[in-house]
Amino acid sequence: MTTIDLDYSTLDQTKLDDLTAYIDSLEHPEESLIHVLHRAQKLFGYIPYNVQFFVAKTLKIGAARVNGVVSFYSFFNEQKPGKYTISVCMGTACYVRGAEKVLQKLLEKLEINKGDVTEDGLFSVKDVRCIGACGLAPVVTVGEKVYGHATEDMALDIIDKYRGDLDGN
Amino acid sequence: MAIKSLDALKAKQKEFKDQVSLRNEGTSSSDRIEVLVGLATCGFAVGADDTFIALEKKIKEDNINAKVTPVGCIGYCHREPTVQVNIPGQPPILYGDITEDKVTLLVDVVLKEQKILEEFYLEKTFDKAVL
Amino acid sequence: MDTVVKDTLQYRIALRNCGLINPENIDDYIAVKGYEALAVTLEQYTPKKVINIVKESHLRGRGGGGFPTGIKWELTAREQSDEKYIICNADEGDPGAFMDRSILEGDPHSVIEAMIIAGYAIGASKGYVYIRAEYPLAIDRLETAIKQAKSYGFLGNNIFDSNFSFDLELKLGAGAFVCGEETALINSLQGLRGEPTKKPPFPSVSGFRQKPTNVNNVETFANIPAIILKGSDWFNAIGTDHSKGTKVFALAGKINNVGLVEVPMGTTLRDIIYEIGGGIVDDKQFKAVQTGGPSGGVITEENLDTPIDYESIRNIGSMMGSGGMIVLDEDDDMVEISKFFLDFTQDESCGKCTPCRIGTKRLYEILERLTNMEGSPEDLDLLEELAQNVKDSSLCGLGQSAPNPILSTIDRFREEYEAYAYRTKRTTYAIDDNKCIGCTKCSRVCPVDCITGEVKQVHVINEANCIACGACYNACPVDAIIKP
Repeated sequence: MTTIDLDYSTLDQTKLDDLTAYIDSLEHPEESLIHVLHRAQKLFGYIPYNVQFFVAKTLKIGAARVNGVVSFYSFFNEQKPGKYTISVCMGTACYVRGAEKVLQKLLEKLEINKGDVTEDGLFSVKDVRCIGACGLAPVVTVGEKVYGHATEDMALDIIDKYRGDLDGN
Repeated sequence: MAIKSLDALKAKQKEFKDQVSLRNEGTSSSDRIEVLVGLATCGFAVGADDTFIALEKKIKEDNINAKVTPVGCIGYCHREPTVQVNIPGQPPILYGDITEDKVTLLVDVVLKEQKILEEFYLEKTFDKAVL
Repeated sequence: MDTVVKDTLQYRIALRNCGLINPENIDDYIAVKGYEALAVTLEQYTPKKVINIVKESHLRGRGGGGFPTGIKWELTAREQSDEKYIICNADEGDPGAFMDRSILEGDPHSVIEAMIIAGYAIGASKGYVYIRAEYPLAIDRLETAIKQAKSYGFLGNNIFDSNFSFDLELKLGAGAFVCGEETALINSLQGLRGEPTKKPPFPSVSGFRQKPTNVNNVETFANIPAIILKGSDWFNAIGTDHSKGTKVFALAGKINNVGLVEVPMGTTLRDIIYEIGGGIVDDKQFKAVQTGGPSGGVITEENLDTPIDYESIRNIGSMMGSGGMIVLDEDDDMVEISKFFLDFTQDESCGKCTPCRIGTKRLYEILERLTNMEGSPEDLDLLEELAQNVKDSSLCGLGQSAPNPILSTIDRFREEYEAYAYRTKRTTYAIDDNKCIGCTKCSRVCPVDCITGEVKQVHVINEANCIACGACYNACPVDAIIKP
C-alpha cells in the first residue's frame, strides 16, 4: 500500500504564504476552491496530496472535498508533470486529420503511457481537448509553442529538439 | 471618464467616424492607412504576433503614414495570419498567409505602390449587421 | 450592406465585430455603437419591454438547446428574490467548436454589454462569466474589457445615471465537458465537482447560491445588443419559420476553407460546405458531416440540401449543438469516429448516474471490440439496445445524448459496422492489392519464402506459412503490407 504524504512543512514556505494571502483576499473563499487550486497549481506546478491538505486546512473544509474536486477536473495534475509537457490536441478536427497516430508515435518513442512521465523526468505526454487551432490540425503544443500540421516524423523531431535544448544546443 | 448618458456616448462615437468608415468602406477624411492584424489564438499559432511586430517596424523604418491595429479573428483560419489593409479612398482588402517573411512584400507592394497582391488576396465572403 | 445578400451567403450578427475592432480598446467598440443598446435600454426601456423585445425576436439558445432566450429571461424575472444572477456559459466543451472563444477574443464587450442588459431585464445586480481555463487569451481580453467597462461606468453603480447597478466577475472552469450543462456549471461556480442536479428546480427558480439564475451562452449574448438596437422585426426577417437569426459554425475536418462562418438559419449544408467551405480537401468524395459534437450525429449526401435550423437538423438525425461542423471524407471510418466520441463521453461522464458512467464505458468497449476484429454480429444488437437505454435513463444531457454518434452512424453506415462484426482478427500479414507496386522487396526479405509474385505484379502472402515476423512490413516502400 502506498502511503499518502500529507506533510506540508516540507513545501516552499514563500509559496505557501502566497497561497494563504490569496485565500485571505477572497470574498467567498470556500466557493472559490477552484480558483485556489488554479493558484496552487501555478505555484507548485501540480497539486500533490500535501498541497491539497494545506488548502483544505486553510479553507477549513474536508480534505476529501478538496481531493474530490482536484480529481474531478482534468486541468489539475496530482502528479508532477515532466519538464516538457507535450500536448496532442484531440479535438474532432485534429482527430480526423490523424492526431491519434501522432500521439501513438510520441508514446511509442518515449516508452510511456498517456499521462505518465518519462523516467528521466523530461517529458510527459497528454491529450488535450480542442485548443481551437482547427485550421492547423493536427496540432501539438509544448508549453506556449504550437506545432501545426503535425506528422509522425514531426513528433520525433519535437522530442529530439527538446532533448537537444537540454544538451545546450 | 465615466459616460453617463446616451448623448455623451453618441458624442464619443462621433470621434471615431473616420475609423469606422475607413474600416467598412475605405473612406476617411485623413490619408492615414490602417492595417488590421488578426491576433487571436489561431493567428498566434502561426506567428501573427511576429507579423504584427515586423509590420510596425517596417512601417516606422520606411516612414509610412500608417498604423497597425491588433484585432480578433475574422474566421479565415485556413489562411492565418490574416491582415486587412484599409487605404483611404480604396475598398478594404483582406490578405491571407501573411507570415513575418511576407511583411516587406506587403508593405512595398500594397502600402507603397498601392497595388493588389494577387497571390495573397482573400475574398471577403460575408456581410454583417451594421448597427 | 445591411440586407442579406444571397451571393455572399454569410451574414454576421454575433461575429459582426470580430476581426474588425481592437478587442483591447473599448473605444473601438463604442465606435461601432457599442454600449448604445445598454444606454437606450436604461434610458428608455422598462425591464418588461426589454424582455418583450427579446421574446419577439424569437432568439433561441445558441449553446445547442435552442430554448427561447426571452422566455428564459421572463421566467427568471418573475421570481421574487433579494438577489438574482446572470451567468454567461463560456465553457465551450465541444471538441471542434471555437466560436465562443473567437467572440470573446475578438469582441468581448458585446458579451459584457448583453449581460448588463440581461441583468437589468431580470433584476440581477451580479453576473459571472464561467470560462474554460484552457482559453488564456480569451480570459486576458475579458479581464481587460471588464476593467475598461468599469472605468467608463458601464459596470458598477448607477450605470448611465440610472438606479441600476451591475457588476461582473470571471470564474474559471478546470476542464470538464459536463460543466456546459447549466446545473453542473452552477455547482462548479460554487467550488464543487461539476455534477448536474435534477431539474426541477430549474436555475431560474433556484440556481447559483440557491437564487434565481439565468444562464446563457456566449453566442446568444453576442446577438442581444444588435437585437435591442435594430429591433425584433429586423431579426425576424432573417432565418426560417421557427429559427430566427443566424448561427455561427466552426467548419473543420476535411474541408479546404477551415474557419468560422455565420449564416442565416435555413442555409443548406451544401452552400456551407461547397460555397463557403470551398469543398473537400484533395477533391475527395464527401462522406458525411458531423454536427453537434459528442452529442450529435452525421448528415449524409442525401440531406445536403436541407435548409438547416434547430428542427430540420433534428429531423435528419443530428442536432445543432454549439455549431461544430466536422466534414468527413471517403477515408473516414465511421466506427472509429463513433469510438472517438464515446472515448470522449465516457471520459467526461461525471460519474453521478449509473447509465452514463457505466453505460458509456460499455458502449466504448463494444466499439473497441469491433475495431479490434474481436466482435460478433450480436454486438450490433447489443450496441443499439444499450445505446437506447443510456439515452433514455441518464440524468443529464451529456448521458442522454452520448449514444447519438453511435445511433446516427449505425443508421447511415450499418455496413461499416457489419464489416467489423463479421471480420475476424487475422494473425498473419497481408498485401493491399491497390498499393503493391511489385517491387519484390518483401519476397526477398521473407525468411520463410511465403511471398510470391512477379516483378511489377501484385504480390501475395501465403497465410498458411506466414510466421508474422514483420520483415515484409518493414521492407515495403509503399505501405502496402497490412499488419495483423
